Amino acid sequence: MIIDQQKCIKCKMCQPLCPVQCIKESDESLYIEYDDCLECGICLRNSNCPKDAIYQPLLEMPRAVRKAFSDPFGKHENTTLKHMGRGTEEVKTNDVTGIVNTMDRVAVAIEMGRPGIGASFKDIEKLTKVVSKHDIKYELNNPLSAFIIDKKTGVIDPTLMNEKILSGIIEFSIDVKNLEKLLKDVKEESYYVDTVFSVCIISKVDNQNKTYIEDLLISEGYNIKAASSKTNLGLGRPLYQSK
Amino acid sequence: MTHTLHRFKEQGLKEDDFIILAMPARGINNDENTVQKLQKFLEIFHNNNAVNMGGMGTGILVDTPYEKIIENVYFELPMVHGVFGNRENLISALKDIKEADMGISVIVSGLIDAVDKCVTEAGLNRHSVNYSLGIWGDKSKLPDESYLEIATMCGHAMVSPSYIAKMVNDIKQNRITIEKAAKKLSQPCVCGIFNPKKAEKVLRKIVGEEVAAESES
Repeated sequence: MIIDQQKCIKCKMCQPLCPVQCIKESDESLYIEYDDCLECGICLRNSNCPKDAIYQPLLEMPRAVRKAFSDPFGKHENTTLKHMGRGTEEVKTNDVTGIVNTMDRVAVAIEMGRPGIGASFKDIEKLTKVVSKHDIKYELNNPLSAFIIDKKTGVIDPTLMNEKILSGIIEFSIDVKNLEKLLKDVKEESYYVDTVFSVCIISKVDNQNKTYIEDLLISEGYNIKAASSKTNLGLGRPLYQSK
Repeated sequence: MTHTLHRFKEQGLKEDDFIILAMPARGINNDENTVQKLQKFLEIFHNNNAVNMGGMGTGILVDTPYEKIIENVYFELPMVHGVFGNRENLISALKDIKEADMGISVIVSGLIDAVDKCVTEAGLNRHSVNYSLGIWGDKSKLPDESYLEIATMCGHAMVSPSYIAKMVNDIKQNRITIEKAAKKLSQPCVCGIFNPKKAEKVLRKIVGEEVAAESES
């Protein structure tokens, strides 16, 4: 995003909206630190700039990934996916798609940069390299998966290494029996990343209204009872198992 | 996306913030009836006192009339959302959804045990659960917990801590009411999942604490 220096009257209405505080002041106007801007578009959409000084230049790769992953209206026009979003339908349509359809397998999503800090692809690659050491299966409908050029090693497209995004989701499935070790390795790597990330795990519920992993997560010290979860109610049709 | 997950809950086990999402599965059950079904979900949310609702690009209840949101539903819309401020409205909405039987996937976000109880009371069952394991990494980069509680109500991180700080400051200077500040904070969240009533409570707490601290010093 760019602020037209000839138009800006330094009213500062846009400045507090920026999630990464990259709108700075000069003597006469405000300007956007181009390297820090994640192209989320919030300043353009919500500041009601009285001079229409904020504008979106044409973005080409690799910078275009910033908008695709950071702007809620961004599209992955430069990946194999064309739809909106940073991740997939995950648990939301699991009753119909069956991404997790057995009790012995779970889906894991590691959302790099969330909440609100953002992440570089260098930091994202630190985690993809860790999780790739495990017996996982990347979710291929996830836009970030499209940029992991070697799924065995977790290496990401090197042309993205200078790019930063508001958040990107590393999404994959794994056998429940391997989950504990995976989480320990992710925890260990978490001390070496220059950002935050949020982790979630999707599990099917059995006919006794239980998941196998709930006790495991609690015993490992995760306070899952105090954080918001998402529950699919199985109302979608056709149900995955009935296909 | 996991945009309604990971809502940070500083104040513990509160039951004042639930979200219902309705989402067709792309390429499987989004068909010529999808728009009508999504509109029906929004109608149910509205009839059950949703404190916010909408979908990406439809406008949100905080600043768009309900009728206009309905009119703005389009075929490619990924999903619609309704936010509820108490368990009674949530359960009532779930009962209406069960009755309508639209064949679209329905998801409830909220504290896991509270959601489980509400789902059971509505006569429904859980199919699968997405558990949040919280925030990892360099947490020194995060804002104060009260600010985080407001900011994480937009999963796309469009409600920045600096914007919350501006609203807090404007409230303290009597330039804006808490209710109007909460409404303004809702607007950057284009999905309509931000809970303005919850934001009012947290803003009241932040302002009270900051004013008390300033008068002590």
